[in-house]
Amino acid sequence: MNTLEKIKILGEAGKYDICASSSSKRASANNGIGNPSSPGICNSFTSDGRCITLFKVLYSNSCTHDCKYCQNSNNCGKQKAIFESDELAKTFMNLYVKNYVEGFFLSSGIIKDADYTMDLMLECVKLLRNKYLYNGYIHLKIIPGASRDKIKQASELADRLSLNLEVPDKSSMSEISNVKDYKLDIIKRFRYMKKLQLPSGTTTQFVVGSAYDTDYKIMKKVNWMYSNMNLKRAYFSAFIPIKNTAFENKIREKLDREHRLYQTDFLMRKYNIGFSEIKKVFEDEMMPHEDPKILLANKILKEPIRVESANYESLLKVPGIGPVSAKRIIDYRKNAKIKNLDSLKSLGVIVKRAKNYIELNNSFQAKIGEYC
Amino acid sequence: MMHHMIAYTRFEYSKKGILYAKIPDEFSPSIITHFSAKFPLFYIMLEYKGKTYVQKNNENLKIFNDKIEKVLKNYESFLPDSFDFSKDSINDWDIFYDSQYIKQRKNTKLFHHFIPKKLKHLGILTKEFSSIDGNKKLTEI
Repeated sequence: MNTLEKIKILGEAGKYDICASSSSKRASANNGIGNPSSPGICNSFTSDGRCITLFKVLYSNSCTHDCKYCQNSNNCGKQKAIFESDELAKTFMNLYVKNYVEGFFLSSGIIKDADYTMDLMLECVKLLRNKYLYNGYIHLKIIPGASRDKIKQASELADRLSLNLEVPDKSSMSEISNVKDYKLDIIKRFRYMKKLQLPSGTTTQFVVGSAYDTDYKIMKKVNWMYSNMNLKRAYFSAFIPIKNTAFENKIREKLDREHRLYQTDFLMRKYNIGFSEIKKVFEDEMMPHEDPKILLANKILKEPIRVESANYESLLKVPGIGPVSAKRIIDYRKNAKIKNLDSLKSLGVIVKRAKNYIELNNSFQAKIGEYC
Repeated sequence: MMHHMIAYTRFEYSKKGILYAKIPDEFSPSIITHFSAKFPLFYIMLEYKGKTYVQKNNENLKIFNDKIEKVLKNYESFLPDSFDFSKDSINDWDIFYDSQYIKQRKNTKLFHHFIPKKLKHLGILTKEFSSIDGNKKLTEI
């Protein structure tokens, strides 16, 4: 099998894995190729609008596991392939120096066992770092069940490590896999990772809708991971049934649900709104089909927020005000008075959303005001 | 636009350690500093409006009133061999790009939000535009 065929098979095998950032706090070396500090640069976009910033492939799509949603599971009948370490490293470097991609993402199906697979992946990453003097961004997947030693080695080579939770708890895991042990293979590995110093931290991914989980359960788990496992961020991927897998006849999850979970996650991660407040907006443990921030504001803002005096945390609770505009309001107030809604607009506030939740110059625009 | 320039410039590589590209008139040669800092081991060469800009490790920017082919040949004549990344990457990229697409999530509007149609006439991102135009061959676009 030639390299092009492998790229096709192993690129497709990894396309459902999500990764976003290509930035790292690690200092760039002057004697290497590339640097890890170019956040937000997307070198391309696919027809589904997703950014391609990393060369994202599996080392191999052979897998001993039987995850029922996964196109690489041991009984799905797909053509199998495996890279040679040097072949993969050189293919990536060829694309990297020509500016097609901004970094490297490597995962794999499980060949023989977790540590054997980790060894193959580490061999490839070591070649990149030592032979090709690659100094750019590397995101490495940890194979469920990998030993502490392999995880430590990975942390010394990669900028970011990730391990997919897929579902929020043990009982849901038993719905999607007969092999994976949720606590032993996954949570225990996160406990190892949280003690390591990683420039870009750790991430995880949920396959939303693969098991019968509620949004509440998923977000509760995400919150627990942020609090207890130093998780940098969580990704959500709406379940899509794949032919020849055990779940091929299961109903596809709506993208809207994935979107709401991302919005909720943003509220926790970027707006510092606690889960104890966010959980007030769930209905039957599911997030309603509306912007969670508006739902939350309707629940918790008993009176309008006074823009002239509110602190940063209070401003963030107003729909239409984000971390950047909240900071701008506070900076602006130090030197001048906010006179009207136009002033707020110029500071980046989405006035249309915010006006019903704020008080400005002792006046409050009630919803009925829109029709007066 | 600076963001687009940095993200959508595609280089070719000479095994003498030179990354070179011709950039559209709408771009700016100032992006050379970004790439020169990113790849300090390599010479960066950009042809822009008939001139060739050369820089290595963010030092001594040189500007030649010649086409890139001539400047490249001149540099290659005195530089020692470097890494061999000279393999043609276009096929690798095309195959990899196609492999990442999830058909069930097709979203043309979102694609054009990130890659505006106005970039199409620049002659860059040919694979991306051919893909969104219905997987036509490049010659049909």
